[in-house]
Amino acid sequence: MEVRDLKVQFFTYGGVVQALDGVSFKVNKDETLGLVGETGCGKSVTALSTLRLVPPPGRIVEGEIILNGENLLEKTEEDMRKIRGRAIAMIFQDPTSSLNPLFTVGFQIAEPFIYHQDLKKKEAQKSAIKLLESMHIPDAERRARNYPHECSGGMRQRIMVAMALACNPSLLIADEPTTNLDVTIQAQILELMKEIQKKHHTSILWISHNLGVIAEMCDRVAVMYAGNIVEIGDVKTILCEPAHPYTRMLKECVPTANQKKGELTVIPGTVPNLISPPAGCRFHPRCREPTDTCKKENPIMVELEPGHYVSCWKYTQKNDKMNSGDD
Amino acid sequence: MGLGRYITRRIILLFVVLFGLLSLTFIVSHVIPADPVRAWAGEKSVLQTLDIIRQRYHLDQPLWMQYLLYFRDLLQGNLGISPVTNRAVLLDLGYFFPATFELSLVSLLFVLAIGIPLGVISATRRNRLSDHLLRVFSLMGTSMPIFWLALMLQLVFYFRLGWLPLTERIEVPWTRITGFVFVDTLITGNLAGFGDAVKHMMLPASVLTFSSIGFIVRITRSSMLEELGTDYVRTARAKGVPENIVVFRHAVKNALIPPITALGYTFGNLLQGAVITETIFSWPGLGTYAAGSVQYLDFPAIMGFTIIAGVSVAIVNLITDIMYVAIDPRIRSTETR
Amino acid sequence: MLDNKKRKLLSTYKRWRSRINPQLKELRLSLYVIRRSPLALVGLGIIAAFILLAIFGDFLAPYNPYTLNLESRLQPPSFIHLFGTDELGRDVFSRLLSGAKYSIEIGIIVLAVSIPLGSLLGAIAGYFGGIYDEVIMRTTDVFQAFPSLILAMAVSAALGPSLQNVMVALIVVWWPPYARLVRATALSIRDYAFVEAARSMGASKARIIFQHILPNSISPVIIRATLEMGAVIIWSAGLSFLGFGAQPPSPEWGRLITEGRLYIFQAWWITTFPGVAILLVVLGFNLFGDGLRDILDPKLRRVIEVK
Repeated sequence: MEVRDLKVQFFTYGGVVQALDGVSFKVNKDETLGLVGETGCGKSVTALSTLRLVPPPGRIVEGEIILNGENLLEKTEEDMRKIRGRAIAMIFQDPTSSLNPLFTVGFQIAEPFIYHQDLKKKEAQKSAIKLLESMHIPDAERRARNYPHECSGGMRQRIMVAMALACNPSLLIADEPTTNLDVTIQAQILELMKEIQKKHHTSILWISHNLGVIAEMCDRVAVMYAGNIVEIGDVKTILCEPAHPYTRMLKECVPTANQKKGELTVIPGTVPNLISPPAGCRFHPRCREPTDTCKKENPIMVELEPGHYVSCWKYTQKNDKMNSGDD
Repeated sequence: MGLGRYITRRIILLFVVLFGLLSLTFIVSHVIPADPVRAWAGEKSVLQTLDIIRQRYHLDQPLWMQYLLYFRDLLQGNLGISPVTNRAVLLDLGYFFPATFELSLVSLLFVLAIGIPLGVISATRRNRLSDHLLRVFSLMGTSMPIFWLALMLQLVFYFRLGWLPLTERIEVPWTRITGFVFVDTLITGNLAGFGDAVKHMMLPASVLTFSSIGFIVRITRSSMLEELGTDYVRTARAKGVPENIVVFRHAVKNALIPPITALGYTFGNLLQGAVITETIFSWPGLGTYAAGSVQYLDFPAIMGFTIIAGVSVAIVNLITDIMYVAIDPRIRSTETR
Repeated sequence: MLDNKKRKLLSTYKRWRSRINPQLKELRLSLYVIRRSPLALVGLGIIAAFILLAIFGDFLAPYNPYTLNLESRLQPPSFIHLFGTDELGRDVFSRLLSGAKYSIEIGIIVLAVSIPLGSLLGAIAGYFGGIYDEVIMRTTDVFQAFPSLILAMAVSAALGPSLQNVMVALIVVWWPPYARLVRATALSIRDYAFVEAARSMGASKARIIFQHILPNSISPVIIRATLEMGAVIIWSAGLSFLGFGAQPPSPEWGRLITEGRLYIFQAWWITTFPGVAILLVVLGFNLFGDGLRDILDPKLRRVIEVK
């Protein structure tokens, strides 16, 4: 899937929120792309945009989302419905609020089968149970008759994963699936996801603000800040030799075992108000080394090395301006 | 089972509330009036009757004794004798009960059958013209005095248009078996009577329905709006569930909970509305009985229907609570544990 | 010397400003949203008109609402008599204008007594809990178990028909929901830090209730109160219809409708116009309250969300 220059705005009583300001990235077949950023930087909006589920008062104002050669933003609503849960599936952050409390777990997992594969209710239920079993959930048949509130947090998240995988999507979007779980459950889910990817060759867009999880799960990483993608590259490069000042500061914030006791590093300042974002590069108020251009113009994405792109004036001035390319 | 235990517990609580209710009625009927004897005897009573009344209702005893005897009488089904009709209040109540029950039940069904869909529609077309119109419409119902609405409907549908009858419940002769006119006419094969009863019920039922529908529409609308914004509805959409199934299956089921729990309140509203409505349409039900007894200051009758009204509302509330638990599996688990 | 005073004043002002700043922001946002809710504005307009009517009704009335004029009985609406005349020749329009004040009087008094009464009881029940809670809550249960109109009728019957007694009856019936409302708020904020802090500073129980619990319960109470003003008016009209409340020749609106009922087929205007008046006024309150609720209810507001 390829996202090109996506712009999303929220038209609220307080003003127009420029949530996404021209986001571009690509998720290749059989790879896991991580999407990192602070809360409020636009990660979830990006994910919802691919499914065209941006809630009002939000609206996609510009851009293209290409899946298998077709622009999703030009499709009809009925076509999109067929894509959701089948070609692209999503796992949400909070499994407790994301499952309908009045329906059994089995029924909710069976639904994608019913609406995408035209199975009858009984057959769909059977498929659902099989799916649960394939995810190593014991006593799957009884489990299917449970209601969400009767399951533990980790179980609920696995149910969400099952719901998403029902129709073997080519792209799976995971929006902070382990953030609300404790560490042991988190490890199980991560294992599960890896297994699934190996078996079904699903591409995954993994959204998180936890660099550790990103490091473990992802092949490539995109770093987001205030509605822009500031850096993309493969996971090793981004985490070991980050180019963008924001990525660098992010890395410094992660406490390490051999760090001396004392204050934790923070990035000074706060996330900008997206109704009136700062002029030029949105990060410049918090950057360590802003130049005059940074304060006036929004930087362009350039390719630093093959496969490693940065959006920062520090590097654009070094390279030829002709070299700018976004993919 | 857990549900059974919940029901038992609620029934016990019901009795506690009933006890309080009856005590409150006692206070209103025996303590508040300036001259209880006069009040119970009726306005036009002679001196001799005062003594009889005093003895019959134990008004010569000390207050705590009156309280105990009051309950004893109640348990025996003795609600006193109306000085106006000179019959036992309990008998009068039994006679007038079916008419009100039928009217309230029909109105309640209308309110639900019309109000809930309107609320759902209003929510799905939020802030569009149809939504605003529906909201004003439902507000109008609760903004007008019921008796005025009844009078206006009579003016239009009887006087100007001549479509519907003015008063009474039925004008074709019928045999009274259970007292429920729809049941009786069907049992005796009296189809003309059945049709006539339907015609007569249209105006009073419309009045009652219209005055109570606003509340249900509003509650349904706001709970639907809440539902449509939940995470699990978002999940359903993300799964590719068709939109109308998302709305009418996923969202509506959850959204129905508040309006159903409002049933008890709606029923109470209908009872109150019935008092006034029945008066205007000369409907031979408890409402007319109540208004008449109030007009003639028929104290035993007033207390009698107050008790009946309180008891029936308490029972309906109990049913509503039980339904609420039965519908929502989350509550079921917490309440029946 | 003057400088010192000025500085003290400034700092007090600053402190007060910072304390109410969040509320000010809310207020500004609310006003902005109110302006965008046309229904609420319409309601507000109607309410304002009604209040003016109630105050100046007697001055504005073209005729004396009480004088009989048997020669011009039952006249239909015309230029002389805007809403016609009733069965005793009195100008309906004037009676309508002069009757406005009764409705507002009842509304204000009933709410002004039952709301503080209910709120205080609710605050006590919620904050102190235990036996106070049980007793107060069971009492509200009992009161609420009655269909309120019937209870009001019973109380009115016991007290005798008059406007004041109707007010008492309505107050008796009106306080329980507020007790419940405030109790719910009290329960939820009872364990908040600032209450703890006040307690640890030795604030007396009364002080805590009045300064902390009650002010925080205001929002739902206000919403309910605006909606209920209309309900009180309708109820008092209903009780008038049944024979309680204002007695003739008082031009209270409920009475006007009742008196007109006898002549409804000959002279529909006697009954229709007072009813329309009540409808408009109550609608005004309901629209305003509904719009207000749409604003103040955080779940229905459109939240600014960027992720």
